Amino acid sequence: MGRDDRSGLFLAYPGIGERFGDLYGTFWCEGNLPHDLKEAVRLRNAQLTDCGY
Amino acid sequence: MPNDLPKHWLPILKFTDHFINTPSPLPHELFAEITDIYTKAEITEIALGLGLFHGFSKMLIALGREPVEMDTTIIPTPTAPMTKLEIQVPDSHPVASLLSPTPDLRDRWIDLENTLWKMNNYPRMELEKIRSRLATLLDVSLEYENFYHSGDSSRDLQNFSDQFVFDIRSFTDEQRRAIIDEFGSDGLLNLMICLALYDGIFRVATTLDSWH
Repeated sequence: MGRDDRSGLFLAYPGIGERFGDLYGTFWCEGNLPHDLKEAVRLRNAQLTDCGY
Repeated sequence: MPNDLPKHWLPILKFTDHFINTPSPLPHELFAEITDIYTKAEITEIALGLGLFHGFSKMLIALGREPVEMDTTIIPTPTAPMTKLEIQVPDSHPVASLLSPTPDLRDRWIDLENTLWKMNNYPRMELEKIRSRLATLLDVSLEYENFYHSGDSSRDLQNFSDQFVFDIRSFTDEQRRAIIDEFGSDGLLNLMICLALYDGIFRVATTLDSWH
């Protein structure tokens, strides 16, 4: 989602997509924790939430 | 069950389970375990990320946007913004205080929140009531209740919040159609972003309350 959005979800309201992308991109690219730990947390969330993405 | 995950990841994964299954202040043992390895800024960072993962994955489910089938897809890591954000953050804002160990994430979150309230595709007062109901359901501290307070929710609005927190798969096509008929697809998106954003951040608030 966000600036790197491929779902087209935010097409009608790009402002919110850009802001989400800025926040999401900041989370992934800045900070102290490694990407692989963040990816493990993302996958655990998808598993517990039963989310198909 | 044995696994080959690095041992120092386990407190973060326990935190993840707690955040999703039982959002509340951390049990003493888990608090001690996670703070023994990670700084307050690192825990705030992962909590905020988890709030985004959780809230927005549920948003996609509630919108009925999940794929029936999806091959394993490699998606590039999202990119960081190119420009520095200059934003005024009010001292009284409880989320600003909550995210203060991670100033860049704090500012970007407030910026997203401000943009949400400019969408105007769904009645503002109803969104405020939904936010207030989420604060109650996720049992955030009085500081949040006061800052975000609104009147009591009507039954349907209460249902949206309760469904989002407790039973995300209970959203029906009929509900989505009714919202679209009244407020359009943009209205449905506006409502769902509100639910996703505050479900996520109130979970961060209630779990990181362990520090107070």
